[in-house]
Formats: sequence, structure tokens, C-alpha cells
Amino acid sequence: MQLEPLEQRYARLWEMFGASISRVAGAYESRPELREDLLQEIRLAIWIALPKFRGDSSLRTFVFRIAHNRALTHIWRRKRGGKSEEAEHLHDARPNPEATVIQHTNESRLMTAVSQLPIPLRQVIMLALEELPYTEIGAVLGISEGNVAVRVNRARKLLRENLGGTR
Amino acid sequence: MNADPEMSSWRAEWRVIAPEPQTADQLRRLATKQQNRLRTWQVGELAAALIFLVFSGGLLWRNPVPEVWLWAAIVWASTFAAIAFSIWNWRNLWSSDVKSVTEFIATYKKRCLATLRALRFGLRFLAVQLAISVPWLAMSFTTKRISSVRFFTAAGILTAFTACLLLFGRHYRRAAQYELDELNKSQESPETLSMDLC
Repeated sequence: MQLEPLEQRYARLWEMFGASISRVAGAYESRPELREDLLQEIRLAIWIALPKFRGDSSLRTFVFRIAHNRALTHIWRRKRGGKSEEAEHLHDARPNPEATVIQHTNESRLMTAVSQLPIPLRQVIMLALEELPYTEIGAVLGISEGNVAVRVNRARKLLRENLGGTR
Repeated sequence: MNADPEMSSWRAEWRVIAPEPQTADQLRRLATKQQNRLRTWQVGELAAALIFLVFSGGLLWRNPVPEVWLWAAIVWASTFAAIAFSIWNWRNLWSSDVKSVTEFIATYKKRCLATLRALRFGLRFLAVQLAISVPWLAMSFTTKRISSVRFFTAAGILTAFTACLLLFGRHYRRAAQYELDELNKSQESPETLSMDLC
């Protein structure tokens, strides 16, 4: 069987998951210029990993693993020498100029609320919002289904609170 | 899942957020650009290693005494160790992307710890090299085996080399330590973070 060219596979994958990947990037990084950097890092990582994809997991699991892993690397590295985004959220509950820009660029208040969750909770709720079943969320994150359920419940409670605060 | 109105409404709102459309050509260009940048960095690392090897080889060729042999052997060993570590590091960086998030975090943590270990190892090597080079240089000068011009040139090169390695080491140690701290912070258990919800 002849594999389709990498470029075609990549374009098809982007068509299927591009929106989801952008939402992952948006929930990890609210600043537009940094979000674009993160998106590029994810694209590059997928481009590099795609030729090695042999179907050990579903394509969706494969893509979400890469997106979340790259996003984590991005946030571990980005704050060096600067004030962290989480710290800004923690110390100042007022809407900041970036948050205002985000709202003005038609992004949802839900994205802002999700991006304020602690990372382990943010990860599960993002995947749940993408309609992944708990088994698949577990496969992406490497945790048990039971653990997924617990985290989703906690994330929903916090999300409800966050949305209440931003209404 | 559909019987959950709250989740359904969140999903509907979530799905509205869509990306900028991009053509395959744009994606390929972006990926190629970034890959080239990474390759340049890797080539730079290998070029730096090559400079160390050629420089130490040249010194040994001009002055094949036991102290220089010992010094050159240490430079070669540390350079090869650095190259091996760099190759492992790059391979590890990209191959771990497809692992689950938990496995990725464990691998990344290992990578940060390995970087810190490698830097400690490098500093020890530097101390050993200085312990050999400085007395050898001083003795060669006092016994008039080398001229003052050579002595000051060699001392200048040695100082610049040491300063560069110390600055480089400090930068990488800070970066690795920072990433490790951020990693630990970001992975604080949700149980700890949301105790009030339980």
C-alpha cells in the first residue's frame, strides 16, 4: 500500500483537527502573538511525528497528545524572566487588557474561563469539551478513567464558578 | 452525555472558536522554517564541538608533552560526552511528543534532571582541566619554556574559554531549573488545588 504524501496527510489532519488544536493553544496561551508561536510549535511537532504514526492509538489521541505535550512545554518555558499569566490571573481578578482583546476578537468567555483552571483540570475539561470519551481522555493524559471522572467533576465545578465571575 | 444540558451548551460555545484557515502550502513552509532553525542550532553545537577538538589537537601536535596529552584527553572525553548528550537530548525531545501527557511529563522531568547533571559534570571537568592547565602554564612560563607573549596569549584564551563555559553553564542551569520548577508547579495535584471543592 502506498502512503499518501506527507503534505496531503498533514493537510487532511489539519482539516480534521485544526480547530481543536487552535482551541488547545487558546486555552493554554491567551496572548495572540504567543498563541501563534505555540500553534507553530504544535504544527511542527505533528509534522515531525506524523510519518512515524502507525495507528497504535487513534489519530485523534495522537494529535491531542502532541498538542497538549507541546503546550505544556510552551508554558514551562515562556515565563522565564517575566510575570506568569497564571500569576496575573491569581493576583488580579479584574479583566486585563489581553482578556478584553480576546473578548473583542470574538473568542468566547468560555475560553477565558477554561484558561483560568489549574492545568490538570484544564486538560480534562478541554478534552471533554472536544467530546472525547473518558477512555480516550485517559489515553491522551495517561491516567485512569476513574481519575478522569474525578477531574472532570472538579473542573466543571470550578468552571461554573469562573463563568459566574465573568458574566 | 447528550442528556447533560450544561455540558452540551458549553460544547456548543466551545466549538464556535475556530482557527484561521491555512493552506497545506503555508503549513509546510512554517514547518520547514522551524525545522531549519532547529537544524541550524544543532549544526552550531556540532561546529562548537569541532572547534574544541581541532584546537586541542593542534596544541597537542605542537607540544606533545604528557601534561598536554592529559589535558587533550580530558577535552576530547568531555566534548564527545557533550555531543552524545546533545544527540540524546534532541532525539528525546521530539520522540516523546507522542507519549501520553503523564509519560511526557516524566520524560521531560528526566530530561531537565539530566541537563542539570550534565552541567554539574561539565563544571567538574572544567575544574579538572583548569587544575592541569593553570599550573602547567605557570610552570612553563617560570622555567622560561614559553615566551611572555605565548604565556599571555594562552592565559587570555584560557580565561575567555573558562568565562564562556561558565556563562553558558549558568544560562543552561537556570533554564533547566526554571523549567523543572514550572513543571512541578503546573502539575500540582488538582486535589491540592481545589480542596475547597471537595
